[in-house]
Amino acid sequence: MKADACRTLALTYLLITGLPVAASATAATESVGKSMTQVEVQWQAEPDAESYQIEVQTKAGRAVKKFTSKQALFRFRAKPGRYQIRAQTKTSEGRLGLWTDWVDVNVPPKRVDSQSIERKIEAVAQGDTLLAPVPLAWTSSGAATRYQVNIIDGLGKMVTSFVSDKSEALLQLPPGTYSVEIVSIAEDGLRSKPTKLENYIHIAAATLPTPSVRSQLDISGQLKALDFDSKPGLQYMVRTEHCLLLSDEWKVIASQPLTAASWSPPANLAPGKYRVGFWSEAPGWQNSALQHWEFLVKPKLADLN
Amino acid sequence: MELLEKVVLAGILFVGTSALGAFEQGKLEQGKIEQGKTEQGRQASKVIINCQAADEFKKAVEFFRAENGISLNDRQSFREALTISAGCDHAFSRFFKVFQLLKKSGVDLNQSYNIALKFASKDDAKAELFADFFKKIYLENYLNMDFSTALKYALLLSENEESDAEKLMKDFSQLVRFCTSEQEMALSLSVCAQVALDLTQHVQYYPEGIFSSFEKIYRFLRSQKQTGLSIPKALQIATQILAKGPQAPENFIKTFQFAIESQSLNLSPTQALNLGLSVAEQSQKSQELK
Repeated sequence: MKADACRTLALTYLLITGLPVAASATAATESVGKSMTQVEVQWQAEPDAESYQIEVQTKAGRAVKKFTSKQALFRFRAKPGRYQIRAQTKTSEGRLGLWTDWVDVNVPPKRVDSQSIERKIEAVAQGDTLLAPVPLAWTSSGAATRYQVNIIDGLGKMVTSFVSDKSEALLQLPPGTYSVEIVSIAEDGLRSKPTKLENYIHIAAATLPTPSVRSQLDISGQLKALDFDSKPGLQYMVRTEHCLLLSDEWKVIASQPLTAASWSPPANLAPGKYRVGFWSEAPGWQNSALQHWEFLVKPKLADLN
Repeated sequence: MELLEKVVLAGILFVGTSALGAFEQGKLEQGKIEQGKTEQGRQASKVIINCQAADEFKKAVEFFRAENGISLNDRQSFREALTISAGCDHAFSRFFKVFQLLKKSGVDLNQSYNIALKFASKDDAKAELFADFFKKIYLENYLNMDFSTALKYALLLSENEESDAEKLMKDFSQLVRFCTSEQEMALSLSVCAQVALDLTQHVQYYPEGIFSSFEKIYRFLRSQKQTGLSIPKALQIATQILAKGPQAPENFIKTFQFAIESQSLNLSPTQALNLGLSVAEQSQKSQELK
């Protein structure tokens, strides 16, 4: 193929870091140094071309640099940002081909180094909040001005996602195992690949606090219902057991979740001893300590005659 | 099935020297039948009772077949039915009455059975007394005691020699209420139940019931500031006096007042108390029948 000054190079590039592939050029970026990224541009070689002229400018049109390359491959270092690249051939006679169209090349910020983060976070949820405080910190990444943090639970469900302008965050998480994703974000919005930390956070299943009972169950005389302070996220349970007199054999007659912050035994209970157990439970938590009440149901005189 | 015949040697029951002794002697062994009300100095005779044991046995066997809670095979049920029918006439009725009472009260069936079985061999009055006492001691509208206490005292009261159940229960209730009352003795229910039981052992001596006599002597003892008797001590002395019959309180009070008055014997409070007790001890005398 003869060099043709009027001929346009088929400039193609690929961002091997996984960023979207541009239509007509290939460029690869690779982090080098603390804040610079190496960009690799490739194109189809022209047999008659003795060298290639390459121009790099910012997206805003400010010229960054001009290069000459003998190969259809060119590497340069750039800070994270949005660039445009074009190229042209140059024959041995010094004739220049047409410039290619400007091709956008985005150099994302470096991603967070997973090695810079503690290996695992172990914590125990607190009884009063049902959550565990989880301090999360990472090494800041070059040109990143913000970080998007995604917390994903063991079922792959996103628990929380937020953007932090610091390289640290204090989370409050319920018991469970969580994976973390951190994405560096440059000032112009360019995002790094996510740094994934699988099963990074483990919050131990602690025992739920004993429910706060406002009014104790009392069936002697005027019935006083069991009243308690209900907390969101908790399921309150009541189990009723019956035991015949002069026997120690307790039988569970009902075990039910409560839909209100109050409970009274059903009317018309058969005579005998009763034991009511009350506790709270929540997924990922150990049940609270059991609270017990015992009472005796006596028959009415009419029932005995 | 042949009728069972039971020969009862009730022996000679003396009531009077010791009410508790009479209470103990009044407990008849299973299979024996009490012959009427024993009275002071009266000799019981040897009696033969004819029993319709077949009817009792049949009812008992049918009961075991119908009562699902008590699982017995035929052989076991025959043996148990024989135990019931050995109680002679109305034995099953007595057993069943007590069994049903306890079952309806929420008692374990096997325990209900064991307790009820004892009444098959007693007389009708004792089963009636037990049922009545149990209800009035246990149920909420009456003394409202816990189950174990109610059962214990119903069983003990049903053995009382007093045949007037209403009078006995009234005395027991009044004594318990007086004893537990905050304004009076303010003692615990368990202590008061035992006190009431002890006192009602003597109720047959008191035609109008023992409570009024108890209240009178107790208040007298507590009102004597010279003696400074505590509640338990006053209770103990009152019980000691009342055991000597309906005349004993009067004898004690008269003697105590005579002994302590300065114009009379002018004894110290302790001496007056002891003298009063000595005279009260003489309030009953056993006499040979001619």
